[in-house]
Amino acid sequence: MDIHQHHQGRVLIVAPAGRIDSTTSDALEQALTKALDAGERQLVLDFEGVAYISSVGLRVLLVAAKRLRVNGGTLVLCAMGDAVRQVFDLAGFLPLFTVEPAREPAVARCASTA
Amino acid sequence: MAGSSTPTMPSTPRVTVRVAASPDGIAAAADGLARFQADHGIDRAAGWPVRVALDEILSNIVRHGRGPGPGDSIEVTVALTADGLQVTVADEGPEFDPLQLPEPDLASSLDERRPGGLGVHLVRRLMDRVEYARLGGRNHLVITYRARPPGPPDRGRE
Repeated sequence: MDIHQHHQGRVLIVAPAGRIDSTTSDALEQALTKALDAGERQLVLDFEGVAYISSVGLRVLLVAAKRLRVNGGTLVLCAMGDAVRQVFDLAGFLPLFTVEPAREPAVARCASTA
Repeated sequence: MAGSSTPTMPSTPRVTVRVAASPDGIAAAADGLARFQADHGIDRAAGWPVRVALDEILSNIVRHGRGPGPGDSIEVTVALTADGLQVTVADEGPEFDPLQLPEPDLASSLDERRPGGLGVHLVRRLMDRVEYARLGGRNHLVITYRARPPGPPDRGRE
């Protein structure tokens, strides 16, 4: 899976493309682990290019969110399509995350928690 | 029409693939399902729930080692029936009915949250019907999904 990453100020934007399921979640997990290991503390995960997500993908996000919470970081999710949002909703994950409709407000929100 | 490729009374379109009980096998099954959906005009918006459900079912089998050994295979049959898109997953592992798993606690906080049981929960909620049977020494899980026309998801919200 392609995972685009770039900084906007101190915020790291991670934008996976394609499906996040058991065949691709390892790649996302490695990208997030590498970013957190490198000291990134303000992350925006942009779902614009994500077709759908299954529970293994949710687990990867859960692990990253817990780790950021422990070290005082921030994770903001954005640009979820219907498929992604519905799985988050059914899994009861929406209350666990900060979700913005688009990338710009997500970056702004993430930056404001510095 | 004389050709057999375009029958006027088509039987139920059906494809069966046998895949390894491994991550590569899951990828092959996912690709097979995606191809079947594309061949039958099921677009991404209508097709994703079944693709998520199949990923949950196969990854459960592979991850928990409940299914056959890595050298064995899992049989995945996709069919377009009158009830909708139907996927049957059959494996020769020990008897295991995932529908007996307890429901996950969806109200717990981030710190307490455990991902266990979430996959089966998603399958139940996304599909219209989920059935398990032990047949001929194999686990059979059958999921059925009737793709609905685009629009507000008003069904099931009353």
